[in-house]
Amino acid sequence: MKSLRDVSVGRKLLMSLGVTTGLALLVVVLAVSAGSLLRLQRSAQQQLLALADITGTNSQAALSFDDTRSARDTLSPLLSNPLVETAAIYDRDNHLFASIPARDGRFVFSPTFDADPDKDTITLRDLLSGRAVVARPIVLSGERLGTVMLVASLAPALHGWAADVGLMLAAAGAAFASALLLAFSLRRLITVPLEKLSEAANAVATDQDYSRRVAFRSEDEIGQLVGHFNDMLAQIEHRDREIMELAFYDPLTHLPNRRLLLDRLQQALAASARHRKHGAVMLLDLDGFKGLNDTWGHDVGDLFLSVVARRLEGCVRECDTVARQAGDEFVVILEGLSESDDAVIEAENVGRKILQAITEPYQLEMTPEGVQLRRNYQCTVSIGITLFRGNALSVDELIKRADTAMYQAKASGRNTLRFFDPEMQSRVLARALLDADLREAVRDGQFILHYQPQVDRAGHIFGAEALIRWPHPQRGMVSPADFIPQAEEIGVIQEIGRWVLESACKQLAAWAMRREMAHLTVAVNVSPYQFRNPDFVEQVLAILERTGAQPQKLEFEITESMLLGSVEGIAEKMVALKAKGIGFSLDDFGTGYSSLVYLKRLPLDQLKIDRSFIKDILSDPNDAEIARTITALAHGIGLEVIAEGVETEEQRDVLIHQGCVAFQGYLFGRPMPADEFSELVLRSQVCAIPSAMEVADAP
Amino acid sequence: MPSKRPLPFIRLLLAVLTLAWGTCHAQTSPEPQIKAAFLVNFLKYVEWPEAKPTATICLFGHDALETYLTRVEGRPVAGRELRLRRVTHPNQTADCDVLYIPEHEEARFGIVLRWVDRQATLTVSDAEIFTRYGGAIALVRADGRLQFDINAQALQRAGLKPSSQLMKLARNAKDTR
Repeated sequence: MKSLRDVSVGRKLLMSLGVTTGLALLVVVLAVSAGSLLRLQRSAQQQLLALADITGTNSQAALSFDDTRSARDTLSPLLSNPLVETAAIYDRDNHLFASIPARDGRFVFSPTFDADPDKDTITLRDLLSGRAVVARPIVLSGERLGTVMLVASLAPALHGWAADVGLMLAAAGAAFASALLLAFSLRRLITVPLEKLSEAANAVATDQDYSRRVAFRSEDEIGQLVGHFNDMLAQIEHRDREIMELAFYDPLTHLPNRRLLLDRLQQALAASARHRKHGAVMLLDLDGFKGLNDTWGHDVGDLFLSVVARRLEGCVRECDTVARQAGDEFVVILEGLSESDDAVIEAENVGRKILQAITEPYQLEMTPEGVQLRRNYQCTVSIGITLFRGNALSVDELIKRADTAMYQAKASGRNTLRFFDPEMQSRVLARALLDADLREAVRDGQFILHYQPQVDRAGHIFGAEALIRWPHPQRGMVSPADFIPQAEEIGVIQEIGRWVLESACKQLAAWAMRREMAHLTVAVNVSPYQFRNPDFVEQVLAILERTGAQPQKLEFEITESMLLGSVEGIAEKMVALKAKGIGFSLDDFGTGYSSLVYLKRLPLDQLKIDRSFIKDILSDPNDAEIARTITALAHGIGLEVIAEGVETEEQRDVLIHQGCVAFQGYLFGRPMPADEFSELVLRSQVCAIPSAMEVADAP
Repeated sequence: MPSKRPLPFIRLLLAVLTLAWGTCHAQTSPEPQIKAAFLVNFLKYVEWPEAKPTATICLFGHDALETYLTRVEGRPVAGRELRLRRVTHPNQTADCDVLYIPEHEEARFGIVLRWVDRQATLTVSDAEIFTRYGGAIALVRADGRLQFDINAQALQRAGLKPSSQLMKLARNAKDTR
C-alpha cells in the first residue's frame, strides 16, 4: 500500500485539485440549494399570508351577517392558486364557519379552531413535510370577527426545487469532470520538467558525464531548480577537470606529468605494435639547471622551465608527447617514425633540433614586487634516445634505457645526444663523420668531375654528362648516391652544385679552345635545391661569364621530382636560362610521376629514357614498348631523345630501330676524368673524321 | 389542527361533539337577537357622510329585538358609541343613524320614511316589501336563514355608502347576479 507521500507529483496535483474543486463545487451547490429552499419558504409564506389576509378582509361581511355561502364564494377562488390546497374560515367563537373541499380531498378541517390563531410562519419542517398551514385573524375595526386558515401544498414547489438541485448537481459534476481533465493535461507543465530533471540526474549518476545539462527554461521554482542543478553539474565538471589537471599535468609547465607520460608511452607502444612503425623515447636533462636555481632563485628557475617546455613543444609534431618527468628532466615520445632504419635518423634530427632550440639564449623577465628583473641565460641539454618498435619492451625498460643513454651523453661532455643502442649510436656517429668530411671536402675542394660520353647513331661522341666524384683520402671513391642526399640535408648542396657547374663550364671553355673538341656539349645535373635558390639564374650567368663557356653547349639535366612543387617559379627560371641558349633535358623520364602537362609547359629540349627501361629492352616487350612510345612521344612534340645505360650493341640497335638518335652507356664509355675523355674523343675522330663533321652539325 | 393531539380516537370524538354543538347553537339563536345583530352590523358596513362619535339606532314602535339591542347599548361599534332611542314623532328622528320600523307597522311605512327623507338615516324593516316603499334595507327570511335586500337608490338618496361586501351579501344583489 502506497502512502500519500510516495504517490507521484502528477497524481498528487490531480488529487489536490480534485479535492478542492469537488469541495468548492459541493459548497456552492449546497449554498445555492439552501438559499433557494429558503427563498421558496419565504415566498410561499408571503404568498400564503397575503392570500389569507385578502380572504379574511373579503369575508368580514359574510362573517358579520352569518352568510356561509358568501364566505365559501370568497374562499373558492383560492383554489386557482396552485399553492393552496384548501381553506376555511372560523367564526369568533372558533367554530368552523365555512370551508372548501380540499384539492385532493384528503384534508378535513376540525369543526372548532384549536390552533394558533395567528400562525403566520412556515417552518422548514412544514416545507419539507410538503404541507403548511397559515392562520390569520379576521379583524374589523379592532374587533376580531374570526379566523381564516389556509392549507398549502408545497410538494410541487419542493419537487421543482429538487429538480433544480439535481440539475445543479449534474452541472457541478460536469464542471468537476472537466476540471479534472484540464488538470490532467496541465499537470504536465510541472511534471515534464521534473521528469527531465530526474532523468538527467539519473543519467549523470550512471554515466558519470558531468558535461550534461538539463535544457529547460522558465522563471518559476522548477526553472530555478534546473538552474541550480546545472550550476552544480558545472561545478562538479570544473572540479573534475581540476583534479584531472592535478593528476595528469604538471602545474608549472602544463605538460603531461610522469603518470600521463607512462600512459601515453603505453599507448604509443600499442600503436607501434599495430602499425609496425618505429617510435622513440627521448630523455632530456638540462645541464646546470641546479646552478640557475641556486643563483637566481626558484622563481627564475620556474620561469625558465616553462620557457623550455614551450620550446620543446615547438620542436615536435602535434602527435608527439612532451612530458616533464621531474625537476629539470623532460621526456619526449616520438611516434609514427619510419618502419626502416631511417627512424634513427629521424629521431636524431628531432634530437638535434631540440639541442639547437634549447641552446638559444634565454631572456628571462619577471617583476617580483614591482621590480622588473631581466636575466640572460644560456643552457645546454643532454639527450638520451632509445627507439622502439612494437611492444616487446616495457615502458619502464624504455625509460631506463633512455636514462642510461642520457648519462652517456652527460659523460661525453653534455650538450649532445646519445642513442642507447650501440649500433644505432655508431650509425649516428658515422653520419656525423660523413657530415664533417663533406664539409671538409667542400672546403678543401676534394670533388672531381667525370665525363661520360654521349654518342649519335654513328657512334660519334657529341658530348658528355658531367658526373661528380668524391675521392676521399680514407674512404676512397664515395658514390654520389651516398653523399648527395646528406649534402642536400646539411645544406652544402648549393656549394657543391655551384662547384660542379663552374668546373663543367671551365671544361667547356677549355674544349672550345681546341678545334677537335669545340663541338662537345656538357650535361650537368641540377638539384632541385639549387633550382629553388632565388639567385640561381644570376649564379649561372655569372659562372658562364667568368668561365667564358658557351651557353649553347651547356645542358641542364633536371629530374621530375623537381617539378613536384610549384612549377611556375621553375618554368620562369628555365625560360630565362633557355633564352641564353642553355638546353634542358628531363632525366629519368618514365620513372616518376610523369605528367605530360610538364612536357607542354616547360621549355624542354630532350627526354632521357631511364636506364631501367633499357636494361630489359630485349627481353621485356613492355619495356621495349615503353622505350618506343617515349621516343615517338618526344618526336611528336619536337623533343630529342637520349637513352642512357646502353650496354650492348643489341640494345643500341633496337633503340636505333625505334628512332632514337642519341645514346649514353658503358657501350660507349664509362664516366672518366676529363683528360681520358679528351683522349677518347681525339682517338675516335682519328678513326672517323667525316663523321665528326656530321656530328658537329647535328644538334 | 389535528397534528398535536395525542390519540386519533379522542381527536375524532371531540370533533364529533363540537360539530354537533356548533350546529345546535347556530340554529337556536332567537330571531329577534339575529335581527338586532344585523342592525348593529349594518353600522359596520355602511359609511355615513358625517363622522360622529356616536351611532344612534332609533326604534319606531315595539319589537322584540329591543331587548337585545339594550344589552349592547353604550358599547363601541365601528369606533362609535352605540345609542338606542325610541321614536314616535318626526322631531325625534333628526340624528337617527339607523331607523328600524317593524313589519307590523307596515301601514306607517310611508309616513315614517318621509320623516327621514334626504337625511343620512339608514332605514331598516323586517318586512320584505319595505324596499318597495322606498326603505333602504329589508330583512327577509329565505333559505332557512335571515338575509336582507338592499335598495341602493334609497341609500344613495340618504347619502350613505354601503360597503361592497355588504352589497354582495344582499339577497336581491345575489339574485340579480
